[in-house]
Amino acid sequence: MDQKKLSRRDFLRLAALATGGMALAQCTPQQTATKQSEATAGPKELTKEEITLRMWHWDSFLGDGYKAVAEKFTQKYPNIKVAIEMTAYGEYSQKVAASIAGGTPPDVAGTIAEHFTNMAGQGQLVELMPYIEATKFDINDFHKGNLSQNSWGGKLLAIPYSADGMWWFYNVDEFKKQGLKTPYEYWKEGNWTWDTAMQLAKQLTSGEGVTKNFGYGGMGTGNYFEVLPAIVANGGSGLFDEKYTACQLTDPKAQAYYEWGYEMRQYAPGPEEQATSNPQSGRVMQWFDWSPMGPIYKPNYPFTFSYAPPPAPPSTKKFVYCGDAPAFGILKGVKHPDESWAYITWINTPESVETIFDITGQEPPRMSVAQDPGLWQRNTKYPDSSIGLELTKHRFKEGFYNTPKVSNFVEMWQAHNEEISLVWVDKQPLKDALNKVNDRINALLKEATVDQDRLYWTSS
Amino acid sequence: MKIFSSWNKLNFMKKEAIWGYLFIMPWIIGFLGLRLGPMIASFFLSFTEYAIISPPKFVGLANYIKMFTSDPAFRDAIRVTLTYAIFAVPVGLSLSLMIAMLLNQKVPGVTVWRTIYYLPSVVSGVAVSMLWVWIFHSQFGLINVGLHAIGIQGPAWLGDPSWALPALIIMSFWSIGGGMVINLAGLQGIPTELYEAASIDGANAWWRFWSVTIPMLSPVLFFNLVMGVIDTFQYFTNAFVMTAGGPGRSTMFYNLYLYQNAFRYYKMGYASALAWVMFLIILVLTLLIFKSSPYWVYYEGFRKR
Repeated sequence: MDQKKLSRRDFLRLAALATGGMALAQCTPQQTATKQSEATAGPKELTKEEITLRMWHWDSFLGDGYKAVAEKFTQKYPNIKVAIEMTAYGEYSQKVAASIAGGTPPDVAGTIAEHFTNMAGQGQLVELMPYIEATKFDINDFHKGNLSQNSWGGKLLAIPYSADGMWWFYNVDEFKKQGLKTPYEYWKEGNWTWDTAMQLAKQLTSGEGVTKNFGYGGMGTGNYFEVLPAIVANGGSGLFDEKYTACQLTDPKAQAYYEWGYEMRQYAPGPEEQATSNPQSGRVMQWFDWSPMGPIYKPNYPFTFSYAPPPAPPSTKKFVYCGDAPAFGILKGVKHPDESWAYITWINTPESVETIFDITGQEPPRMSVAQDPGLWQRNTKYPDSSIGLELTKHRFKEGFYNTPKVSNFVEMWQAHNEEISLVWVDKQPLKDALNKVNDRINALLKEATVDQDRLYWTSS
Repeated sequence: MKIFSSWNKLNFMKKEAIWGYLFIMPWIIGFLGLRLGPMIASFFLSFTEYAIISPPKFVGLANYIKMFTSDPAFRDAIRVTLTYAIFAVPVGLSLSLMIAMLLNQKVPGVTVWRTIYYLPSVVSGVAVSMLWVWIFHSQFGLINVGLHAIGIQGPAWLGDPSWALPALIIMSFWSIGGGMVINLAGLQGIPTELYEAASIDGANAWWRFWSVTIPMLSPVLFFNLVMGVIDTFQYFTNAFVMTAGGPGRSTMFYNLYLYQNAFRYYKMGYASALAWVMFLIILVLTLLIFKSSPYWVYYEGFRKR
């Protein structure tokens, strides 16, 4: 019998059929994740199934600390593994939004400022108080200001993993070289104000061109939008009135910081210079940054640095710490909410927060741990860890000025930056810019969903 | 089997047609699933408030009304994009034609020059943007150092709201290589007899260019013009990386503003409305260009009025 050979045309037809078939097969609807009902709290036994909890975050420098803690968690619960996934901050929010929309939210979601406002405002975070009560979690060891930042509509929706704030860093070597009193010394003698900071910036600025030293790192148009309310509050006012009915940037007290910042420009690198004239270059003598940056700077900076509180306005002499209270929460729709809660409590035990501090320098959220002298004494990641302890205690006492929980705060920040950026290049007078920002923020406030909780918490 | 007997009853043409559709099925499925489907979804979303992580809420024409009545950022985005288009497209077309004509000469080493001029258009994205940030640096950038050498104080370019958009327009000329190659191919397709005939008739270089080169190249110019206009309205990467729309809103291109609304403010409904308005603007401009084409585009053997 003759075997029928496969012709080229037949082969092509079969290949097309196979390709079309494969393409159609991909269109079959995927099995959707089982919609979980709203998490019901209670002291339940954890699952005995083999599961992997996905924990999402953006600060890769915390990775080692959380891995160490996750390993211990798995030792206690061998069937529960933890996968820590880091995403760059700029993309984190979109990734979380996509995961929620796709029905695959992470089991434990990091949240901060804009992320929190978005998730909480859209009702995507599980209320945690029932879990706290059922498992008797020691929530009183957390500062009320940090808890407030992570609440919405009176419900606590995330547990802070840090109580960090902004510090005023400075180049100790240069201060010694010029025989100048340091910001810390000024603070201890009760004279650490904007005026002192400006005087120091003037004295520390020298040279021209590529060898110019800058007395101040500058806030530019403000790299950290969370700190805007604290910046404004520095003058003794607030970004919004208490009821969130209006922006107050036209208040002279609110404008005071901007006027100071505008004067300080002459001692700071311009927008283009900041790429090469950053603190690491050794040519910027004083700068603002978040406290956990201390351990990151230490091995990389070729000079000795230390820190003090941000300077107080001369009118009030009151120190204002920015606080954004990053936290972990449980998103609605996760498959294992009880296990997610178990992990969140695990990473917030005193032992775990100490481990994370020892490995990464991330300040503990628990007041009892953060203010433990022994914890700071054995820490080698911060220079001057005794000062670090002192500032932490000061911060808990003075309180935190939180980022407003306003649903469109990112848009407000954009409006702020658009107008203020023109001031910094002398294309718009400061008062005009602040008036415009005020009007734009007021217009945005009318469209916003707002959480009316207190912004500012003093003492513990 | 019934299917095979039905197949055997079909005539050859129908069988070939069916096979043809099967061959292009993967593309059709991709188009329906990844292009047309999302387009239809975005059309409906443009009538909603949609924050991605919560269900869409129908708001009727509110997004469109807001866009045209109470969103100054929208007007600024249109202004910036149109300004860019008005300068970048014609100048870019002219430059690419000029370079193509130079590279159409029979001189030794011309292929090396063609490669050099084409290379920048295949290098794109973030790396190029970072490179140009340094070229535009007000103190150390190549441009200002060169200007300083001849006694001119260069502007702050990307740091100056008056100069940031011109800087991006200047940067656009870096990638004229793509248009240049297409023009070059078109130039090489022009019959030399036409130039000989024009020379015999006494036409000088300018008249040969105006009366022979331009008409014969007009279909290519038409294509480059349409693509240039479409690309302009989709301009994004350079503004996103280099200026983020600033200083102020001086480089807030339409696509960048759309991106901000979608992925920073989570206003997907409004962003969808912006996308559809952009589609209509591009459609109208493209139709206008097509409508004008019978008056200036010459197709051999075909003239439509």
